[in-house]
Amino acid sequence: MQAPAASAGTQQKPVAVLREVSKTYGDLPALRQVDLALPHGAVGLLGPNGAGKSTLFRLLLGLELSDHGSIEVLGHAMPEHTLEVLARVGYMPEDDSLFPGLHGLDQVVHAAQLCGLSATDARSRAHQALDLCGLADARYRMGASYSLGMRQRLRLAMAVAHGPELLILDEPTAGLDPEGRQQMLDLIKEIAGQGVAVVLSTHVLPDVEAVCDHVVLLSKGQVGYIGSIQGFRAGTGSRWQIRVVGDAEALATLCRAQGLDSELQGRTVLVSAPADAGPQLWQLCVDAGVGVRAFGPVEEDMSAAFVRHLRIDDPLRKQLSPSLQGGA
Amino acid sequence: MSETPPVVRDRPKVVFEPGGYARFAGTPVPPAQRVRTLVGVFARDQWRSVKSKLFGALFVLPALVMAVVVVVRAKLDISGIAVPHADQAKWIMQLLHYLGNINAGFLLLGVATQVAPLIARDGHQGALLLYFSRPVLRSHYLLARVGAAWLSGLVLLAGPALLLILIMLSQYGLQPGGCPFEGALGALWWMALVVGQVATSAAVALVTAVAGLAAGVVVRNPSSAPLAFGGTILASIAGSWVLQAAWGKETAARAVDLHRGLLSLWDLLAFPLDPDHPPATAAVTAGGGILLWITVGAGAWWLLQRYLHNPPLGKGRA
Repeated sequence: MQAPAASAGTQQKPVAVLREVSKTYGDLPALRQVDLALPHGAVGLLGPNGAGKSTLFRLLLGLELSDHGSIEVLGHAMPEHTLEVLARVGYMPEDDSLFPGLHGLDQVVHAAQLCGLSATDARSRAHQALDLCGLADARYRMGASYSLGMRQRLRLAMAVAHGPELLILDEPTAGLDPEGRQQMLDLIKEIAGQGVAVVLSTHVLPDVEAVCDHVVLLSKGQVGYIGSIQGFRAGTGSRWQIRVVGDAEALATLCRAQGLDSELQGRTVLVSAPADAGPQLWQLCVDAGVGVRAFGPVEEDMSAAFVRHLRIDDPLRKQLSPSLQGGA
Repeated sequence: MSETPPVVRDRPKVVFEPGGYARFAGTPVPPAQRVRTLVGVFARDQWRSVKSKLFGALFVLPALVMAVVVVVRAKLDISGIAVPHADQAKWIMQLLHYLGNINAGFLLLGVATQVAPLIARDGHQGALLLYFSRPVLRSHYLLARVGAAWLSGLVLLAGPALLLILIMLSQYGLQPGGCPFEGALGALWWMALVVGQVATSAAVALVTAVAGLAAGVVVRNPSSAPLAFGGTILASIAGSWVLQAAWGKETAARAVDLHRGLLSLWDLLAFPLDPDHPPATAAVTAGGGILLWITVGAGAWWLLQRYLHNPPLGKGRA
């Protein structure tokens, strides 16, 4: 019944690859020439409303067809191999939807059978999935009578019952109280820790921080950022933070003399400098005769990083920036 | 400081099985078996409510009443009550005809209340997304929904009819009076009745199931679906009255009446060996009604496919 987690070799493969994918609804472009390779591991899909996250999910699940470009999921071309792919994918939709008229256990059994498990296997896996999701005591209650948190966990159990290789979660913590949210995140981490690729779409940025290794930011139908969480927060490395022992003012003055904008906050000097300015700044510390207690690029919190990346990605800003630079 | 210990509330805790999340490494079942599973789940879905079970019982009731009448008339050798020997075959067919007419009416009611809302409800409650985000083809879903509704209709129509045939066979034997076949060939006559009832039930259950489900997706609202289906039937009956009053031709009126069209289907298929209504004659008189249902069935199938080609994928998006 149980297979070992994916080997290191397969972990390196992207779980989904999109090449020049475009999708338009009427006159409204949802995705524009998207090139994207979703890495294995836990990936947070971020973006403001209307960025194209739901469209991306629908294309990955073969629910809709792209207007242009090619999509590969788990090594299979979509939509030609939709059925093979969907048997290996678990999807938890954002909507509060369940199969009508079934109790908790039957919901999960039905979901697993639809994915190709026999009745016996589906029942056994459904019990395991409900135990995993903390719904053991409520398995014979009607799904409609569950609380919102329980229904979210039930949908997660339905998504994982057939043992998918890729788990797509659309707003899994939406509407949950802090305790329910923490339980959900623990579950997702547990599942991701077993070698299952997880793609998590959410507006709750700390959720991504808590669960994911990678971030994909979509903005106006295009990929604004793809990379590690640390990279997302560190951004361009345009701001450095140096906490010193000694004369911080002297260091700040020295930086300004070098043409670097700097700001003093107690014993910390914040310097605007390029990402590769580390050695230069270190030399300035030596020259200023200060002891260094902390040194490195400023890590923003997720919200600040999110807003900054969106601004970078704003095409209007891109269009204006050359003229602004010229004016300066 | 208070001496009473603080109240410790039980925190809900995530329970992990020993070993936690586990991958499934069994053998997947073939797609055909998945469709069968879907049919089974959908069929159970239709019979889950108390209302649907009561409806089922309603179909058996006329057959039971008729069975009692059959037994009483067969057992009591009293003039005026017992069926004259020469009329026995005719009487058997007449009873089956009545039963068919009554149960066709019940079926229309059952389809309106139990079947019509099903796909619309799946769309309304977001269940379609749950199906289509799993390896379920839209055509498989449609086949399973129609298949489950058809199966229920078939059982409800053919079941009571077969029960009645069995009881009549036990009372009148292989060779009822007036049977066109001699001796052991009487079995052929009974067989033709069984085949006729099953074939008619299958055809009627199919066209009504497709039409009912389509009525639901046209209005897209499960609570309006019964009204949409029932309203269409009633409108067609009213239309036929108007047509008959204005034009006076029954065949033309029959061709727009969905209820009578269904009974026409019965006339054509149910009694292939009835000397009073040979299939060739029945086909001529029933042609308009049958054509109507073939058109309605084909149109309904097209509507269902069109709906599922671009279904509402999400709760409340129907």
